[in-house]
Parts: sequence; C-alpha cells; structure tokens
Amino acid sequence: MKRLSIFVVVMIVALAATGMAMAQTIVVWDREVQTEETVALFNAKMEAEGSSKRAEFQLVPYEQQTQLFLAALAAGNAPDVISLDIILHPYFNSIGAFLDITDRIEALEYRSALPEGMLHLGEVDGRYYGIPYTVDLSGLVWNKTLFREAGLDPERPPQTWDELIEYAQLLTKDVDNDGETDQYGFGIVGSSAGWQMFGFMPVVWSFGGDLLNADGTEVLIDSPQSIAALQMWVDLIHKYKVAPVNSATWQYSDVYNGFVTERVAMMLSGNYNIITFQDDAPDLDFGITFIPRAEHGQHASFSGGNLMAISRDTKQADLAWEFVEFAMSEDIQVEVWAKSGALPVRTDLFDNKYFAQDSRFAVFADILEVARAPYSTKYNELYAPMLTAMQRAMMGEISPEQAYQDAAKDMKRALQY
Amino acid sequence: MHNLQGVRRFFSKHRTGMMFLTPAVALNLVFFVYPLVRVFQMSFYNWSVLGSNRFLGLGNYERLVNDPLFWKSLSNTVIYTLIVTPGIFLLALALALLLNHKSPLTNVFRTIYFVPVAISFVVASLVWLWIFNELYGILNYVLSSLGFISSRVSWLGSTWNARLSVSAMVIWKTAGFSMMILLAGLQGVPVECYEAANIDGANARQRLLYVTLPIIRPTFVMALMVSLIGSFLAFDHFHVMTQGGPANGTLTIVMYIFRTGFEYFNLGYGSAMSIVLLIILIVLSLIQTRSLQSDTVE
Repeated sequence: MKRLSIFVVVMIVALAATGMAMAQTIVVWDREVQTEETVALFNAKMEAEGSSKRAEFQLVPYEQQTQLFLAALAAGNAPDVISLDIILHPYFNSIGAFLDITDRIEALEYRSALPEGMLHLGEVDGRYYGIPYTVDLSGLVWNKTLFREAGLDPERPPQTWDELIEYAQLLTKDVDNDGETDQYGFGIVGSSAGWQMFGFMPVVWSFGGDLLNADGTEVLIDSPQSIAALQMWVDLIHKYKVAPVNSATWQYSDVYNGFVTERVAMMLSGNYNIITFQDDAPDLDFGITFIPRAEHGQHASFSGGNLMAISRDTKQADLAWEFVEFAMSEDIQVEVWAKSGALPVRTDLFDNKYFAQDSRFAVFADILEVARAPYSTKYNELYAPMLTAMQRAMMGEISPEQAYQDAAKDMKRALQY
Repeated sequence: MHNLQGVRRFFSKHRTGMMFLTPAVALNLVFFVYPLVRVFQMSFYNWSVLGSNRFLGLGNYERLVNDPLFWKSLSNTVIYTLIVTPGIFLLALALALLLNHKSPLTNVFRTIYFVPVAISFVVASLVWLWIFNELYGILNYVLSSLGFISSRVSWLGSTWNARLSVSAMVIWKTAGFSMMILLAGLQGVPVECYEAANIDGANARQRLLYVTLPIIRPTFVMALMVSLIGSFLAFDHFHVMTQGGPANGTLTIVMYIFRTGFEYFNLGYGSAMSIVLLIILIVLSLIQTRSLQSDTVE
C-alpha cells in the first residue's frame, strides 16, 4: 500500500512537471484594446497549429501604466511582454527593466520600415530594448464647413502660424450676437501636460527650439526660439483672441467637444481622431494636415505611441519574441490597427486597403517622417514644470520669457538628482 | 508586570482577549508598521525599483528643504485646511443644533445631510467637475438663467476660484459626518444644565455660548482633529477636479508625494516627504490629546 501511494505521488508530480513544461504561457500588458484582439488571434493561431503556447492579456489603463508596472517590477512579477508609452522607455531602460533585442530586430525583413525616431527612444549605447509597436502622431484638424462660411478655401489649411492667425481671426465670431464670442478659430488644450507635449512641442521644434538636447542632459527650453514659440501661443489667446481666454484650463474633452459641435474651427489633434470624429459627428466635414510651422521653420510632429519590450527577467524570451513578431506582422498591423483607424507603425504598410478608402490617412506617412519625441529618463518630472509655466503664461500671469526661464530652472534642478 | 514571569502571567490570564486582538495587531503590523519602517529606511536612499540603491544620508531631506514645490504644496494644503475646516464646522454645528430634537422629520433630514458622506469622493468629484464646467455646467446655466451672473464664471479656472469651489464641494460632502459627531455630543448635554441656565434667565444665545459649547468641547475638539487630519491628507478631489492646477495652486502635499513616487519614480525622495508629513500629523494629534486631557483635569 505504501509503495502504491509513493508511485501515485511520483506519477502526479511527473505529470504536473510535464504539464508545466508543455503549457507555455506569457503575460502581455498594454493600454490599447487592439492588443487584446491580437492576443486572441495569437492564441487561435497557436491552437490551430496544435501548440500549447498561449498568451494572456492584461489591459492597463493609461493613468495606471507606470504605477502598475513599477509595482510589478518591484515584486518580481513583471509581464513577459509589455507595450509601454514610448517616452517612458528611457527611464525603464536606465533601471535595466528590458531585454536586449537588437539582434532580433536587425534580423527582421522589414527593419528599414521601422521609424528611426521611435527606435531611438528605446536605445541605450547603440543597443535596442524596445520595438516600435503603435504610433500616434499630432496634426492640425480644420472644419471645412466653417472655412467655407468664412470665405476661406476649405481645401487650403494654414501652412504657417502667421497664416493660421489670419484664418483664425476670420473664424472667430459672435454667432448669435449676444456680445460673447461663441465660435473660436482655434482651440487650445491648456490643462493637460501630455497635450502640451503632444501638441505644443512640435510648434517649439518648428520655431527651432527644443525641450532638451539630444541625449537629455541639457535643458534648452529657455532658448530665444522656444520662448518665441510660447509668445505666439499666448498671443493667440490674448492678442489675437482667436482662442478662448480660459484656454489654460480647457481639457482635451472640452476642445474635442467644441470641435465636433462646430464651435471651434481648428485644433491640434491626432490620427486617432479621424475615426472618433466620424463616429461622434458623421456629418462633420473636416481635414487633417501637418501642424503649421514657423515662417522660417520646418514642419514637425510628436511621435507618441508605444514600444513593445520584453522583460529582462522573463523565462520565456523566445515565446515572447514570437508574440512580438506576430503583433508586428502585416496581418495584425493592417487588420487590427489600420482597420480601426490607427496608424500601422511600419512605414511599408501605409499603403493598405483601409487607408485607400480615406485619403486623410495618407498625410500621416509624411508626418511620421518629421516626427520625434524627447529622450529623457526623467520625462514625467520634466514636463510638470512645462505645464505650470505654460499655464501661467497662458493665464497672462507672467511673460513667456519668465515662464520658460522658471521652467528651465525647475528642470535643471530635477536633472541634478 | 516588571518581569518576564509577570508578563507571561498577564498573557495567559487574558488569553481570550489576546486571541481577539491578534488579527487586528497582525493587520496593523503588516500593513502599517512594516511599510512605515521601510519608508523610513527608503527616505535615506536614492531608492531604485530594480538595481542598486544609493545611500544619501540626509540628502533627500536637504532636497525637500530647498524644493519650492514641496513648500508650495504644504502651504496649499494648509490654506485649504484653513478654508474648509471653519466651513465644515459652522455648517455642521448649525445643522446639529437644528436637528437636536425629537421629531419625525429630524431623522429624515439627518439622513439627507449624511448621504453625501456615504458617496465616494471620486464619484462626488466627477459630478461636481461637470457642475462647475464653464461651458456646459449646470451651475453657470442656472445662475445665468436666473440673472445672478452676466457672463460665464470659470469656477475652476483660477487659483482662488479652484480652491474655493473644491472647498465648497468638500464642505457639502463632509459636513454631515461632523454633524453626526456633534449631534452625539449635543445629546450628551444634561437637560439639568439647560434648566439651570433658564432659571438664571439665560436666552438662547447665552445658553448656546455658556452651556452647550463648553460641555460639547471634547466632542468638538475630537471632530475638529479628525477633520483637520483628513484635510491634510486631501488627495482624491483635487486629483480628479484640478490635477493640482492651475499652475500648482491646488497641489496638496499628498498629491505631490504621489507624483514624486509614482510619476517621477523618486521613491526615496517621496519617502522623505512622507516622513515629514507624518511628523506634522503626529504634532497635530499631540495637540489634540493635550487639549482633551486638560478638559478632563478640569
């Protein structure tokens, strides 16, 4: 009887061990629901191939990304694969959170179609620790109907900020003659730090200014060019009065609602709005283009989005990479992302059947080429002084020069530590 | 109990009591004492989530002394506490005095005034965020329809507007709680004291000032301390309604600690600030205990 029970125990342990070795599972985190669909498709494919490999998806809301990932890292519980906001990668690479995937990336056949600007955010000392996975680009949207009403050519959006000011003045009116302006030429999202970066940094870049130098060690926001950009921005509110006086407190939803209810004629936006505008206001006649540039500057855009990375301590590196390749494949990038109006991150996939149906997407292939993002291990900490500075300047409390000098002082202090 | 045997005898005599205490003590040790010790330890380091930590000695404490935003968030918190506390207590006392008699309606009203306390702070903040919305909010709509204002007010758009508006929301939400505590205190006032005052010819105001308030003083101080400490730890409503803006005018100390730790990843620095906050709150609590003691001595 004793020998039988020993035998049973050994069999159970052996079966369990084989069971564990056979069923390989990886955990995937993302803030985007499209990845949930991708994981389901991956599991379906694995099942069809008779393999026991599976992926498990966890949706992580944007506001909780850093906290949850930080907690997981501290507990040694990090997900095998994580799709994380691109501007956070420098910090997480500085603490060694991710696996070096340089060789795997170089071996990809579509390596040259990966945006260099995005790869740079996941790079340390020439090695890559993240692969571009999703991209959001900022641009300008304009309301063609309101343009027509104001006597402007609906197919000719402003190319420079001077042109935008000119057009916006024609588009700012008191529609119902009650003494208060109810239609604004331009809407500004003043209360969101993320939006200040996504929308306003390209303006600074086109003026020749910048937040930091290339490797994030020097603060450049108090340069005359950066200040000139902020001066123009503040003038939109107080001098030309084409943006609401309280723009400093307007949230993204306020400007968005203003645009879809046709009370705001132009706003800075992103590619994702092409679909959301169509859903929320099907009759809205809008166009999307580059963010205007300074008179003597170049167009620029902010490449937001995610890089996908593999945890350094993963026990399933090969399966994790298999999933990453699957998520980057043409099927997924086109059928899951392009279909829902997001941009595929591979420039070789911009020419797809969904984009062919709506010509508005095509401009983003060009925008992607001028898009970049600031590289800093202290990104979150640096853009807080930016928000304060910009809000105070936008509220007319201090001059743009004072604002950016104060911000630069705070940023330099943060970089000290 | 001055020796080990004495201690052992105490524990075995009170075995049942100790057993009942154990879960609470265990929870306290795990979720309060241990993290507190760790935070204290972390405050002396540049604490990294992965990899090595750098010992800084008092470096983080030096840093916070020189950090203008730390002092600003502390002053924001104090200003907010000074606005909100009288507001809550004047309202709570008034309501408690009004509802301090038996009538079928008083229970209904007590419930009505207490309901806001039972809602979560986040939910209340979201609702009030929309009420205060400059363009689409119902407050501006009602006030301008009734002719009280001629142009839209930006309730959360400037530093003081935001502070006062959020404070108004908090007063609405928490007055009911203090009201209940004060009611309990009021009902502990012996009827004989009022009778004696009446015999001496006191009017309502004099009864309030010379009988009621002195007798409910311990209750009042306790409610005040609970409210003060709660205000010092304000986070939810500011996080939802203003995110600390505009221009850091409504950034409270807990918000700044949260941001430092979880958005800027400066865990050691955040720990140092937490320890300073803890010391402030301990001092406040000591003041409370001291003033209660002086009451009972009388």
